[in-house]
Amino acid sequence: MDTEIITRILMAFLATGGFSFLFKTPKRLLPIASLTGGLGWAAYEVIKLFYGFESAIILSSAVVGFLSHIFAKIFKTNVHPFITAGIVPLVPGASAFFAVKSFIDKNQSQASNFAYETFVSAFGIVIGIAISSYVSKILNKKDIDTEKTI
Amino acid sequence: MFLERIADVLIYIGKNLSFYGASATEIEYYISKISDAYDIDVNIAAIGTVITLTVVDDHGKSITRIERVSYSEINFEKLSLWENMIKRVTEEKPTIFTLKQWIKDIEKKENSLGISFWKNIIAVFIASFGFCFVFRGNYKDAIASGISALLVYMATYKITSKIFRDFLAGLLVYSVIKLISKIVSISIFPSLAGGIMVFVPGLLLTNAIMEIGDRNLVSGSSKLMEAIFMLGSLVLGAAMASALWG
Repeated sequence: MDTEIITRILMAFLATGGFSFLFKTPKRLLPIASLTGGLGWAAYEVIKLFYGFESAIILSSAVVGFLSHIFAKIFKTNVHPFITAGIVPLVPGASAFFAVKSFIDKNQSQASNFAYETFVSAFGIVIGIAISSYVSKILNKKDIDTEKTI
Repeated sequence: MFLERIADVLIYIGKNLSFYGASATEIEYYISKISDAYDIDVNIAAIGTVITLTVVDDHGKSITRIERVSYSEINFEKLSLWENMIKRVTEEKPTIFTLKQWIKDIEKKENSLGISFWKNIIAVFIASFGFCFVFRGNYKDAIASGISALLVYMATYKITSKIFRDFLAGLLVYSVIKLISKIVSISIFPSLAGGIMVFVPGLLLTNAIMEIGDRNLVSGSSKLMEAIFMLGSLVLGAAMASALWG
């Protein structure tokens, strides 16, 4: 893998850690919350290489969602410290800004590219999290049913 | 009297959960769990910034409490204290008097959980430094991004209006980066992207999405709307600064 990609993944880990600290995530969960962000970004980079931006944003959001649910179960805590921090690198704050800026600069073609990117990112995150929440709920229900049967 | 005490305690727990960042679905789930533990009939709806709770006794007598949570402070550490207490309540089913004592204990613990402002500043620097790299910046861009974010964080720390704070943050981040770019050669795109990411309403957005997914439609869509407005204010603030700087 490209060293630039690896640097970006490591930096996503670091940035998510900083963000988690701002949310006052309990100290024992800080490295795990950072890991969620790092792995989510790694998924984004790798999927983007093979299947393009649209699939990357949906699947990496789903990865962040799944990991958050798994970590929440392992550490017997809420899903928020992981999912909130993990999803932040994928939120289209920068592309939304550049879309508006390009519209102001009357650069319509660049503006529509950024607007498309913002739209896809926003809805990709919605779809990804919805997929992971739904599947986690089904798996949790199965766990409970199995426990009851036992 | 018993009904009133129960309603007061439950609404107080709900208010604190909401204040520290729990989603509407979670607030409803936790309160229902406590009421199940005590075998009380409770109807609760957490809708955006309002929590409505009705407790009904065996004779059909009911009492309703409504609480508005107009401000929130995201703090997962304090939230986990409340969640742990709820778990304990469902397991041990204490008396209302003991429950009130546990709440007082949590409040004491909360006061001891203060986080230093300077540690937050370091976290802001690290977050924006890292995000700048994620958006393909180099070391110089990342340092500029970190400096701009921490200065703006300090300047907007006390502002309670989220939309105004984000608008100002966008405006100031762009302005600081533009000023730095006049002294050192940096790329605007990654520096700005890293700087504004710290102010993105991440929790609001994920809560909104998860609540809509749970068919908590009113609460989810109102939070989504707030997140969109906050993101829009941030972006428009930066765009306005960009127009002013030319």
